Amino acid sequence: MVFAAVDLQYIVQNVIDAVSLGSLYALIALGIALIFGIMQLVNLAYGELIMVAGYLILLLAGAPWPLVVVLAVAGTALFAFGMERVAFRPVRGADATTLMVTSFAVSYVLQNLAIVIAGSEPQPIELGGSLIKPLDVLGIRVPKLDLITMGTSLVLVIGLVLFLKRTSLGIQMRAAAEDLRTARLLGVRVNGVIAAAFIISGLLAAAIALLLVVQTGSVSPMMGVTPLIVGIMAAVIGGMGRLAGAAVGGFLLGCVTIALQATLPADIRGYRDAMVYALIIAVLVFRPQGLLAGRAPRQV
Amino acid sequence: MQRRNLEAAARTGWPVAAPLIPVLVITLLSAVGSAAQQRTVILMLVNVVLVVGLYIFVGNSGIISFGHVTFMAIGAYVSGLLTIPLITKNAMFPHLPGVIADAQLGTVPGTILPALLAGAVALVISIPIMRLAGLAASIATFALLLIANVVLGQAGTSTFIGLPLDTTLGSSLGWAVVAVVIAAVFQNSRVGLRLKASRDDELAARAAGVSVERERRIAFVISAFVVGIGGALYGHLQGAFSPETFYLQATFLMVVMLVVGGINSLGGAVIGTVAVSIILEGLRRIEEGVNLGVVNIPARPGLREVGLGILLLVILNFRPQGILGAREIAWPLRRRRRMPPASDHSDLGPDPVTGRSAARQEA
Repeated sequence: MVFAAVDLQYIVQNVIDAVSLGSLYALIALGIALIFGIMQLVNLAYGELIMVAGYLILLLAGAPWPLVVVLAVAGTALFAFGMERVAFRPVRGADATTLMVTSFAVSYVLQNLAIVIAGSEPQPIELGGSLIKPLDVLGIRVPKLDLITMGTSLVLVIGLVLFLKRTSLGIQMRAAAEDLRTARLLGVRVNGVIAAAFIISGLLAAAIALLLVVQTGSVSPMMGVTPLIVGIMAAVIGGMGRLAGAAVGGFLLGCVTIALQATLPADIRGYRDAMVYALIIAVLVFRPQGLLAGRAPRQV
Repeated sequence: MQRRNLEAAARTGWPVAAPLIPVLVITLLSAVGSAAQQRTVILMLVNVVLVVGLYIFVGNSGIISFGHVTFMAIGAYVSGLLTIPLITKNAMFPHLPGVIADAQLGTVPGTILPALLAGAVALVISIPIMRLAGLAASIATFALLLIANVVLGQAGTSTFIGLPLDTTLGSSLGWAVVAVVIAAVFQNSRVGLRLKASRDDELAARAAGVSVERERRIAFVISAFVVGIGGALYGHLQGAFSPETFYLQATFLMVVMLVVGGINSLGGAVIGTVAVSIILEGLRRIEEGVNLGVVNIPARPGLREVGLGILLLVILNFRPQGILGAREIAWPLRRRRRMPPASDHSDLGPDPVTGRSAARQEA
């Protein structure tokens, strides 16, 4: 009886972890999928948007937290907008490979610029320390941060869906993702749509950075690498360029990660990520349209 | 008649020999230079091997690979396991299986065997990955890079030390020439030509009976073999390395060198490596701090990488086809008949409506 109770608690704990990580991953994946859907760009510099947001938060440290949130979000969105103008607009329309290499270069420049300016060591940040403390619900520890992560993801995903379905700009964006050429002939301003997509990916990156900074308590030049990898993998699972697919893909990826963590024997647990990545290759080979798509594969 | 044969030979051999001339000149110059200068040049030669190896797959298939550093790592680690002196090795890795624990190979087999293993691993990996095309294949190779990093981090010690420092100016130059010759022979072989056809127009190549997956697999394996050689040479140049040595930074460097020279040209791979090596050396001096008497630029770690990244962005922006484009360096004397210039749609620029390139529209 006691064992059953412990087991149940263990399971519930893991489910909460999975949902929390899954919703964070879903958020990360959206930024990748949004840009890819519209301009066929696998934005390897997306992680550096998160990193830039992290350093903005570091700069703003000490200010009241709502101010930190607003300024970090606005600053990152502006940065993403600038990134598109400076680095991606000149090569727009090149083949997907050239675009990907370009974003690799942008990522590399930004990472190392951060090292030049701030040094390569991680720097501690005091932000929302109280959120780490767990809330006790019926004997189960739920860190407040987990609840905030789930809430933030839910709000942002719903917000994005409403934006894409209800607003004119959102509808233009979906049209551009469907068929850029026809959309343009019908009067969609491609420059505006792409700029908007980058601004939104900047907003998402800032939200992710805030959650990560509270969780880890530090920022570093390489802090964007892991989220980037997660985002790409989730977008692959969901079928590149599909927003709903990417969100669900991210959620699944988070759940699988926690499930493997909880069930793998200790001596091979270190290989968990390698298994997840191998799974991604398998998805690419056997279900190139993503795990969740019903319709014909998209040519990538 | 004989003269014509000679000229024909020159025309075939020249594209291979020409890019090697600056390599040779730099190597000879450094032979009388300081030990530090020689090290820089050896590193450049090792990079020639690595980038030419990468080119064999990427240049001929048109699929950019972010995963080739994996084969470099296999070359370096396995070569280390086979060549580190027995006493050091048994102290560092007490649990090696007998054959490897007792192995004490010389330099040349210690370079070739790991490269063969890299090729064998590539063969296995190519079975799933080469079913993919374009971007999906690139993402899969990126996943390969990540997997290799996890596996190295778990299986290896954090730093791997004690490799004999026997990559010399002579041996690295020799291997660079070998790499270029392998690449040249491959790209003019049936397999190479069929693969290039599939790169330029996959549908047409398939319609003409080219088994694209098969040609890609062959190129992938040969490419991994050459990169494996480069990895072994690298290991014996540095003497020590860690899993992080074979990750994003090394991948980026190889990609930059290839793209700067021209992703679809063997001459470009070599010239790009030389050009980037020279630029890197210049940036390194700036990074270490410059004292111009009046102006004093302090040392700034990371500056070199920023410069390298900006260089790639500038190239992608103004000359995305690289220094040489898809051409090789042609024999400079007059031609008997004029060949039409290779059609290069990238000159037409992007389509004003979709922004996509004209070549894509036609495909």
